[in-house]
Amino acid sequence: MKRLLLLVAALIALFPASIALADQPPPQPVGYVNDFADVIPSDVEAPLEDALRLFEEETRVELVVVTIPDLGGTTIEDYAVWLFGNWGIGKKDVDNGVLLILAVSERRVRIEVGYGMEPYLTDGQVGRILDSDVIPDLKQDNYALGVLKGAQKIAETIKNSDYQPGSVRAKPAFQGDTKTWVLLAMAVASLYAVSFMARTRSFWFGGLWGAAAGGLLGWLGGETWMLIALPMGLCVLGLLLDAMLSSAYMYQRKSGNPTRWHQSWGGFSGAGLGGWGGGKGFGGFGGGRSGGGGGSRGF
Amino acid sequence: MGKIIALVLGSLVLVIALFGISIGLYIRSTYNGLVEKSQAIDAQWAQVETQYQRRFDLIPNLVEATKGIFEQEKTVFGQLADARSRYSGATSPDQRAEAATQVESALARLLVIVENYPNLSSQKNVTQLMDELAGTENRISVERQRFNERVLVYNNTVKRFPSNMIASWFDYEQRAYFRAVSGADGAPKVQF
Repeated sequence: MKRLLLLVAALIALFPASIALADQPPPQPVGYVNDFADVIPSDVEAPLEDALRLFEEETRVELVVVTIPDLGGTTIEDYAVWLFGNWGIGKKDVDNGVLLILAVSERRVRIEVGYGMEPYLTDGQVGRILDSDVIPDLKQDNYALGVLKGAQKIAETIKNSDYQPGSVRAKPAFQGDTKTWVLLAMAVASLYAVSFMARTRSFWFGGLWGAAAGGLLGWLGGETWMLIALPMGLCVLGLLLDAMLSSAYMYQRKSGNPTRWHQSWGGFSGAGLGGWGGGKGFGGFGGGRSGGGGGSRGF
Repeated sequence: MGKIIALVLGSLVLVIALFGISIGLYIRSTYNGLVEKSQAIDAQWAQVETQYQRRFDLIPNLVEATKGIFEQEKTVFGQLADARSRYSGATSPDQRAEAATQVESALARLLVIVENYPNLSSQKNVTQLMDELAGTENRISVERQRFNERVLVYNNTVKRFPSNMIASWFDYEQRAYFRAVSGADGAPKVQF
C-alpha cells in the first residue's frame, strides 16, 4: 500500500501541470483575438482581428492573440503549450502557428512558436520582440498597445524571414470525417434493410445485420468492449426486431393495410439530415502543434 | 419443424462465428495498438534527444560569450564540460538521460551565475543565448512530459484487463517513465 502511494505521489509529481490543466476544459476560441481577460478595447480588437485574418490569408500563418485573467496555478509555459495543442493553432502537418498569450494577474507574457515556425521565429528573436516591443507598454498597464505592437512585430519578423507559404494549402471548406460518413451510410442502409426484413418471413437476416452493424460500430468506437459487446447485443436486438417486423408485416398484409415503404415509414428518411455544415461563427484552427519553443517574460 | 431447428442452429453457428471473429479482431487491434504505442514512445524519446542535442550545440556559444567570468567560476564550467563528455560517451538511453540531467543542473547554476554579472547579462548576445537556452530547456520539459504521457498510455494497455493477457503473450512489458534525478527535478525555469 505504501509503495502504491509512493507511486501515485511520483506520478503526480511527474505531471503537475497536465493534471491541473486536464481538470478544466479549454476555452473556446472566438477568433484570432481572444480577449478573455477583457483588457483590449473593442476599437483595437476589431482591426487587430482583421489584420490577423489578412495575415493568415497572405501567409497561411495562424497568429493568435490570447489574454487570460489568471493561470489557475500553472506556469505560462505549461498553459501556452496546453492551449496551443488543444486549439491546434497552425495548419496540420506544417505547424505554422504562433500564440501570443498574456496572463494579467500573474503579469506574465509568452510567445509560443509552433514546430514549423521555429526556424523563422527563433527564441532569441522572440526574446528581443518581448523586450523591446511588448514589455515596455505592458509595464505601464497598456495591455492593448503592447499586444498590438507584439503581434505587428511577430508578423513583420516572419515576413522578413525565409518563410515560404507556398507549400501550405488552403483549408478545404468542409472536411467530412470518415467515421461520420460511415455511420451515415450505415444508418441509411439500415433503413432499407429494415424494410427488407419486414417483407421476409424469416428473422435471421435481422440478427446478421445487427451483428455486422455492431462489428462496424465497435471497430469505429475503437474500444475493446465495444468490439465484443456491440455485435452480440445488436445481433440479439436485430433478431428480435426482425421477428417483430415480420409478424407485424404479416398482420398488416392479413388486414389489408398498405405495406409499401414510403407509406408505412413515410417522412422518416428526410429527417435528421438538415442543419449539417452550419454551426459556429469561427471555424477553428488548422490542427497545428508546438513543442515549447518561444519565450516568456514577466512585466 | 425441421426447418425451424435448422434456422435456430444456423443462427447459433453464425453468432458463434461472429463472436470468434470479434475476438480475433480484438487480439489483432490490441497487438497492433501495442506496437504503435511502443513505437510512439521511441519516437517521442528521439524528440527528447533532439532537444538534448540542441542544448549541447548551444553550450560552446554560451561558454564563448561568458568566458569573461571563466576564471572566477571555473568549477561550473568544469562540471559542464564533464557532463558533456559523459553524455557523448553514454551508450544506453538511461546513461544519456542521466548525463543530460547533470548538464541540466550545471547549466541552471551557470545561468544563475550569469544573472549576477549585470554587465554580462545586459549584453545583447548573452541575452539572446539565454533566451535560446531557456527555450531549449522548456522544449525539453514539454517533450519529456509528452514522453511520459505516451508511456502512461502504453502501460495502461499492458496492465489493464483484458489487453494485459495479449501483452504478456507477445512479451510486451511495462516501460519506464522519465524521472528527473533528485536535485534537478524538472527543467530549470529561467525567468527574466
